[in-house]
Amino acid sequence: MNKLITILVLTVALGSSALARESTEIIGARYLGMGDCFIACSRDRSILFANPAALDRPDGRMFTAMGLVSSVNSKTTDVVRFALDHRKDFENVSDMSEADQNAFFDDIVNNINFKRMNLMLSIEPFGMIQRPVGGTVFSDSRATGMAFRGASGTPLVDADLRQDFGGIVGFGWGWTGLRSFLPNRLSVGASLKYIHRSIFSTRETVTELSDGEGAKMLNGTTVGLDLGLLYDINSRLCVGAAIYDAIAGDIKWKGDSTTYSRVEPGDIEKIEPALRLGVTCRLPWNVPHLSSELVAFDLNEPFDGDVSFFKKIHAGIEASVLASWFKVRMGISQGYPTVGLSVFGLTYAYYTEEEGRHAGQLPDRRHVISFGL
Amino acid sequence: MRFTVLILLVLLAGGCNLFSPFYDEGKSNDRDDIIGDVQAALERGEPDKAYEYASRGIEKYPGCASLYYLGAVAKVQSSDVGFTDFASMLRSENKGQGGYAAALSAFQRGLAQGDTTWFLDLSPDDLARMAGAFSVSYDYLDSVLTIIARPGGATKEEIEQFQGDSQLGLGISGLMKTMLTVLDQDHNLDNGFVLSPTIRAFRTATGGWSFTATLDPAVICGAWDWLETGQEALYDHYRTVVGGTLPEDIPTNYLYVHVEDWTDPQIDTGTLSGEFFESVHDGMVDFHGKYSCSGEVSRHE
Repeated sequence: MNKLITILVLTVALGSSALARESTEIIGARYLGMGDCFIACSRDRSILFANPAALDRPDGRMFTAMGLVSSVNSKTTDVVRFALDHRKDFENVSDMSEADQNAFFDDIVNNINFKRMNLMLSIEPFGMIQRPVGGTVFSDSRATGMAFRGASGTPLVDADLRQDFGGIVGFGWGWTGLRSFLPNRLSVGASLKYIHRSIFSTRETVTELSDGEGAKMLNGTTVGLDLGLLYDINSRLCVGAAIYDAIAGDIKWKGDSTTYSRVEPGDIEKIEPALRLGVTCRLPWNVPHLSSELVAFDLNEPFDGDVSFFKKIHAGIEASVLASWFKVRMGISQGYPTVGLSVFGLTYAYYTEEEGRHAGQLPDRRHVISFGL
Repeated sequence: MRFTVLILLVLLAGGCNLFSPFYDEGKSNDRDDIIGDVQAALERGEPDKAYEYASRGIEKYPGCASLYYLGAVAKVQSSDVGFTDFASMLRSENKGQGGYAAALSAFQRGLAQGDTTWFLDLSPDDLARMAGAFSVSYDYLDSVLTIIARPGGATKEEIEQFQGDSQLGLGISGLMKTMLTVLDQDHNLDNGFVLSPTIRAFRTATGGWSFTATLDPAVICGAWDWLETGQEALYDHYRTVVGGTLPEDIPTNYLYVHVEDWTDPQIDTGTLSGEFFESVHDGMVDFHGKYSCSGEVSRHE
């Protein structure tokens, strides 16, 4: 029983220590607060991740030192709260009677059963954007962990860890009046990225966990090319598109084989291109105390038949209130509400990621903050 | 218009999804949608719904390992069966110094002795709850492993996700199904579980339950195949867990084992899977010594 409790405590710790699912969180809390829209409206230091065409029209010259984005889902905070509330019980497990141990063990399992914990931390130690070029180095770490009662009631642990180190350089070009049917500003951009990725992915029963085999990360590298486009329909309305990994090398995993890893050395992770479309509009309203009102709409992977249509829809609005350094945001992402605000360089957003196949099935509520100097 | 906007704002403020009316969960006939529905219901903490979706999916896709596995998980969760139930079957009176696995072996030995008394932390109602869960999980997990063993029957991802837990689960379910079938009035869990009137159940002074029974050899042997199928799965699980550290002369398949000839299996009991396997195997040796159940012989010939 002690062994099992230790395993579950470790599971809680694992979920609390790190990362795993592809998402747009690295682009920052600003856009998540406004419904996860960024294709046509990104003009800040997120350009290199969002749409390289915006390198032709950034918000001035930007240097970033210690940019940071971090997110945590509410299931993780629930589990951490449970662990903190029962800190003394965890410390005194070995002194408990067997009946108390069983009751405590039951309590743990009931509280963490199917709670998929999710953590993400992205650090951008240095970045620079000066029209029409930009570059940055970054690390992006993600972890998901979940424990649940398996097919006979005995617990299982499911964990994914992923850590990326990389760099991106990009270039944007722009023309005004290029053709008669394109009278306004057209911008295109491309960015080249190098990523060194380490992963660990496993699902283990209690008996498998008890065999003492340690976790080993597998490593791989890839180089990919992102392409972007922006076009001003008029002075307020702009449309955009980005193809991520338009050309990208597959990742071949290297490292030591482990018994329960879902990924083996020699396995190939195919990097598929992903298309995202967007439109943004600066509103002509004249509302007292509000300024810089912006409305945006994104459609993610419009031609991917594996994802239901309503999971692809994002829409949001942003406005400065009273002063340009205080912004509020709200939106709809995959059908769920999002809210956010920024004060100077600190940005917070609350949003929901759909973890099910269809919108509304399995909401995962997340908090994200981003900060940059 | 304002009323509609107000309703939308209230729905959003409550965290509802605007698009959820566009998908009717549990109604799709698409295989991946059904699997997604089961998974989503499980993660939302709605195992009854998950089991209903999985059962419907299995009728449509009887060769789908994912649906059988998730169906077993859903049934066990909806019956609220957890590890502590298993531990309660093996409470301290049975356990002695040898840990849960030894207690498990003692339980089986009790069966093998023919007339016995068991001390459990479970009431007859708890036994009925567990009987429903383990009867279904046994059938479903047996199907998962049968599909996985068939070339091309399951995807690589299904094997990686489900094989380990299915082996362990089938081992435990086989053992529990055998035990509960023996205790059942008509010895058929498909008809539900009613404690046999020949078994006397009473509360102990320590708050547990005690059961006394005189057992029918024909009933024990009738359940032998479940025990052996479960043990075969536990053996495969053990071999996976210990990997390359197995002795060279160990049989490659439990079906090749004649339990009466393999009384000292030299299993590494330093691992939990080894402990489970060896204790159940010891019980089977005792069973065989007492009853010489013929089901086992027919499987080898």
